[in-house]
Amino acid sequence: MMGMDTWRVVGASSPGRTHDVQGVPCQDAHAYRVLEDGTLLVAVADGAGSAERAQDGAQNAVLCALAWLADALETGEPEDADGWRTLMADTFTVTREVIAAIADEADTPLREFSATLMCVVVTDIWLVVGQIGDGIVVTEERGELTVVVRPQRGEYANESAFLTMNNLLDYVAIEVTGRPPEAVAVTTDGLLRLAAKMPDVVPYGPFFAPLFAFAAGAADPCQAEIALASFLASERVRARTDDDTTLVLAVRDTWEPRPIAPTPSVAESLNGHRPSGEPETDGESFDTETEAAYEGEDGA
Amino acid sequence: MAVDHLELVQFQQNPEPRCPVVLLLDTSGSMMGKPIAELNAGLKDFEQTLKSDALASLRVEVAVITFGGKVSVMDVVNGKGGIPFDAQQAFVTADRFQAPTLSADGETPMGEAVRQGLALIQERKNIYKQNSLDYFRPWIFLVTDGRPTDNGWEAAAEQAKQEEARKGVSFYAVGVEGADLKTLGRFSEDRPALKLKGLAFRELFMWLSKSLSSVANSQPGEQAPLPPVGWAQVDTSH
Repeated sequence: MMGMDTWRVVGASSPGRTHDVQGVPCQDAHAYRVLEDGTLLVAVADGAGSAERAQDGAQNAVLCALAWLADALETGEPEDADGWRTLMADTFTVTREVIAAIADEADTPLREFSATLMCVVVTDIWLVVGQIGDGIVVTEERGELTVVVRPQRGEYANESAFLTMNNLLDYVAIEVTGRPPEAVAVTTDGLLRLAAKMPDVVPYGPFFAPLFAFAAGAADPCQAEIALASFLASERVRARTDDDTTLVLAVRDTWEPRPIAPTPSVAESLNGHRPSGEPETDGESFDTETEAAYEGEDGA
Repeated sequence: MAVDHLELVQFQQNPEPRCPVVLLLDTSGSMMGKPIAELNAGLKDFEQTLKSDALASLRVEVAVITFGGKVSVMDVVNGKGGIPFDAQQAFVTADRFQAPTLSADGETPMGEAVRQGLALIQERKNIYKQNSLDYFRPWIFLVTDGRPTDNGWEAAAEQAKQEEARKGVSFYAVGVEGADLKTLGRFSEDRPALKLKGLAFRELFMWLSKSLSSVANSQPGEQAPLPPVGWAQVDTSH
């Protein structure tokens, strides 16, 4: 179609220091695609450190989710917010089913494939985000940063929810808005403490602004991904986080850098919306370990 | 590219998340002599090992409650005894922790110690929340060579169990020679009380510091792998 904006997208995942030491591969995964009509699709997953096949879980989750979304959108876009909500919910259900089938095939419990998942769709009219777990999707609109969905976590610092949990849809948060952003960043929890003020998850302007500028100026996508990967693997980043890190940055061709508001607003959705399964305060249904969703014993 | 934008990326400063642990230590009369000496040596090792882990020393917060005759909170900043039951003063991050030197005397008010330990943790969590600090699930680590002698210990055991069931705390009980393991088992549904091999306090506290390091270094969604329990006697009764 003519006249549509298109996107510059740069993505990279990098193994954390802890994983280096223990010889564990990078358990973060990302995938993205820009459809012919200019629709942006991004999927990012973070395999649970405690799960044996976490890497496979994360990798399959992003590939499956992206393929399902692209296929579905080929036959036509949903007409309203409810339609998008259903499409996103289906994406999570199908992705979980595919991973369950892979686990079955491998004769391995599903929990060994535990991973978080974030899916983002941006059309010229809509922003649609589906999320389970503790990463963040940050949008930029006229210099204002917004965290679309509050990272899902329980009471404790090392708790998360996973794609593989029972009653998945009770935990998946889905946001649909009619204000598509000019720039989007998706990141896993590995960068969370560098990218946002915790625990209120207020995105940090001096973190995101140069990243969006970098993506906008990325003439050679291949070079840019190498540069982003070396940034994630740099001592500067690694001194601040031990975990795997992922960044997917997408900016419209028409995007122009604007000074980022000194006190970024928190999304309206954070005030009202909670996915039905998310507890108000304590994280009873969440778990540090994967043990809440499956009966297990933690250690000793 | 004229400007390397990636060089310009700045990071948010966030305080370290905290991992609180309360040591509930039996200092009753029966611990007199070699046992209390080994316990004290174990505490010194605990201090050294935690301090040698840079991240853990900033994240692990230690409080020590003793029960021998009466229940006391130790001053772990100066390595002394007898400060008020106050979560503000009772806990200190491992980098500032001074192992107290304990002496043994009196009965075994274990129930009261457990109650105080749970209360301190609750208070500490409130302090974290007020100060917007992230935290890990707290640990209570109880070491005894006997059985509770105070009235109402059953209620304290029940309270500990319930707190653990709602994932408010992880409760570990360790029995030294002479301990009533069956009674100790009533404080936790999740894990049986373990029996210490001889007076292997030093091994025990090395394990504890390594375990806490592991938790303090764990990432979201990650089960902290605990080191093998080399200090416990293998139960061959079944």
